[in-house]
Amino acid sequence: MASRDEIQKAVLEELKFVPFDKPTLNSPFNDFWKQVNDQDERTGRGVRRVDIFLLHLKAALGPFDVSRDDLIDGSFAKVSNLIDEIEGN
Amino acid sequence: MKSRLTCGIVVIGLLSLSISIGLAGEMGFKVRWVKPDTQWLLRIQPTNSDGTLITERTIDPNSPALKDKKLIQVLDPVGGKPIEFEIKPFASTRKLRFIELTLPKVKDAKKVSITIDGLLLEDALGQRIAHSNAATADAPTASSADMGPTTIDTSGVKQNFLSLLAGSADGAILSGKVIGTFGKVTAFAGNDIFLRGKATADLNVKGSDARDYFNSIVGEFDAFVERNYETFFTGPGMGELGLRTKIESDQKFKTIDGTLGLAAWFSVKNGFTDFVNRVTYFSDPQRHASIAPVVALGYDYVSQFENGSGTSAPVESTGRNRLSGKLDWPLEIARGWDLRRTPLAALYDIDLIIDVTPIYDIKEGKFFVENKLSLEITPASDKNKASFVLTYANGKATPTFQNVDTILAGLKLPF
Repeated sequence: MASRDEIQKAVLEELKFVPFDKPTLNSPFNDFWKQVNDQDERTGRGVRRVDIFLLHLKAALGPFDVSRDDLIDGSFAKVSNLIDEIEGN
Repeated sequence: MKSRLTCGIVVIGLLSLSISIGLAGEMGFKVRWVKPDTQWLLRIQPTNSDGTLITERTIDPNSPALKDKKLIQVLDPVGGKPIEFEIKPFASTRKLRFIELTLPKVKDAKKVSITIDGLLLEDALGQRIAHSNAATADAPTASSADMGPTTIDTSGVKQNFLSLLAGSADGAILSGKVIGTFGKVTAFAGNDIFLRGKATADLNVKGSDARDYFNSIVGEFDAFVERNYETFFTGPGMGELGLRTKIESDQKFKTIDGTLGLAAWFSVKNGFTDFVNRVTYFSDPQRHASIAPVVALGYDYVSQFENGSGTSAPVESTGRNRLSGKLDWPLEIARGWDLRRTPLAALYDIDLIIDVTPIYDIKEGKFFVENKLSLEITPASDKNKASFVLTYANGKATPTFQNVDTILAGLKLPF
């Protein structure tokens, strides 16, 4: 399993490509993915960015129990909460 | 007539929202199917009374329900029979955000009813939280797209909607979109190639003149590749590049164009739009994360299959080669606007959506720009409920390029 530093680095790096406007651990996160997903749907994007984000993270870090719905439904208030979840805390 | 129709639509929307939202009264559970690996799981997560997920860890790991399975019942709502399940192991040292059930004898996700007794919820101060004990889980749309060594779960990937609008145009306006993604079909030079189909329609369905609104039906089919990128002008992003073919028709199918071309989809991360996004946001800044505008640029070769007359007739002459674009720039105005003490009885989000579609006809040297500026008021807790929409529409749309300038109000209904 990846270390917390590795998880943090991977999450922030992947967020950069969504793109996320404030990629820090304390950045608000609960509303971000809903907006991104709505935008992908409005513009007819073929593969949703939330799926690419999770795909790349799971390829880099191994499997973890976070789904697209977790992100879109706002299950993580801050970026650090997602890192907590991946780390398994 | 027009104002009556507008009022009617708004009143019906208010009533339907009030009824549906008014039914929610106490804390409950959201239950949904998740598929982290190869097997479907039922995830049970506490929600507030308005249906929004509780993201803090609130479930006591020593709850009786987690030690005695008989306190949770999963039922097939069709036959009313109980379904066997196991509680997925969890860390018992901290409170939990959710619990998950594995249903070994259920091969595919389907609708189930659940009653939950003995699950203890606590707030941050350790106070018990009362909750309802009944919940249901709907079956997700199961599909997936392979990409490289991993699988993308595309279940639930849809935002099909129908807008019913009325206003300064004569009659009632329908605007809708249906999108389907068919997933990866092959790979070429290390790139996964995906297929997608979509259809959009803007129609005047009740009025004397179809040209009072964008008289446009577009079917599109794309094959594209997916790539992360980072450039000086656009910043980093996740792009799509591909071939697209379109059929564009007026609503009577008298004027029909076919197109074939190239298109690129990318986001434009920049300081200016981030600044505007922050300035126009009036709710708690601790909840705000602005997103970058998205641009789609393309070239299309056009074949004119049919040229209609009357209301179907094109009002502009055009050639065979077009450059086209699309800008989508959403601005969050407010999040969680509390209308729970009004008949609407819910929290609402407010967004302003800037949608600009320019076309440049190379032969004629003309620009045609279709603009839609929409204020959307959406229930925060349930994306499947109707939204209120106020739209300013202006410009010219394919294939007739008739000029439109109108303000419309109504409902946007997802399906």
